[in-house]
Amino acid sequence: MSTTNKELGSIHLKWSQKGGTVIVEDADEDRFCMTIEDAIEACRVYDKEKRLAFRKQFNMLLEFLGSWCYERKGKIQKIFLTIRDAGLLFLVVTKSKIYDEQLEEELTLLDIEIANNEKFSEILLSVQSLPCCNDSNYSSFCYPERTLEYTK
Amino acid sequence: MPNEPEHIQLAIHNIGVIDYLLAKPEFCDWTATVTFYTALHIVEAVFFYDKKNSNKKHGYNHETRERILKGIRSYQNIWKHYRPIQSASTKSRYLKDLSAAGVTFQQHMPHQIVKDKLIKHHLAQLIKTAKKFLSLSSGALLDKTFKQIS
Repeated sequence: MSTTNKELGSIHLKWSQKGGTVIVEDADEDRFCMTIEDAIEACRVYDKEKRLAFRKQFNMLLEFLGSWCYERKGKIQKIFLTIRDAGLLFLVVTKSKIYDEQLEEELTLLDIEIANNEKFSEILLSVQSLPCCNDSNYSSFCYPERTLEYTK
Repeated sequence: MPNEPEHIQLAIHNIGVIDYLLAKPEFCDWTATVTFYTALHIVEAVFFYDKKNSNKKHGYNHETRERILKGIRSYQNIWKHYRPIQSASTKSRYLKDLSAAGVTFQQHMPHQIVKDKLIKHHLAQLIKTAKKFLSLSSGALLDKTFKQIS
């Protein structure tokens, strides 16, 4: 009926096994019994919902980060939103070459706020500052073709 | 993978390296990097020892470590000091533009800033907060070694 990969602890349901049933038990020990086709369809719907939720939150994040930058526009030269490992990277290039302690602290607070804001529950974001530098420096932080640059 | 006292020993070893490098201002980039790895071992020691977080004894990678530090409210004060250290370490490794128009890590964070802000402030505060989650012996050893930094 189902294939269990003991090493990964995963359960593999295949369409070819349609007609079979799956019993799922939740934390309250409530049991849900469904056919394998329904389980696969439920996963498909869930995946679509997750993608939609991510897209919605991502759009809100763009706006949120944009407002944050606007309030500090005097200090910021360039801003990028790119990807890093499994999450996003918010990269702030400052106008100054010298370390800005206040901006660094504000970036940390922004980071914590986003990580703990329910509105961004699907978002995994890291933040990084860079001093005023040329393209070759900041482009090494930006994933090719997966980077958005904020413009004025 | 190391346990709590082993992580603390590694952090103490790194504090010795920090002390050595502080006498050599031209290597402030490496001082920042060693400061980060010191912080990382302290955080890993916290993960290992802290009973409230006993289901995750190791951060395993930067991403998971970040997620735990940001997501668990009692660790957020550690994150507040860990993140600037991590950020400086990243810059020290990737900011390598030696052209006239570019900026080097030494120009961005000179020796005195690394010493005053990164070590004497952020690492000191991280140790102070982390001690609350460590065994008494590890906390005391860490504190004593850190205070010996010139």
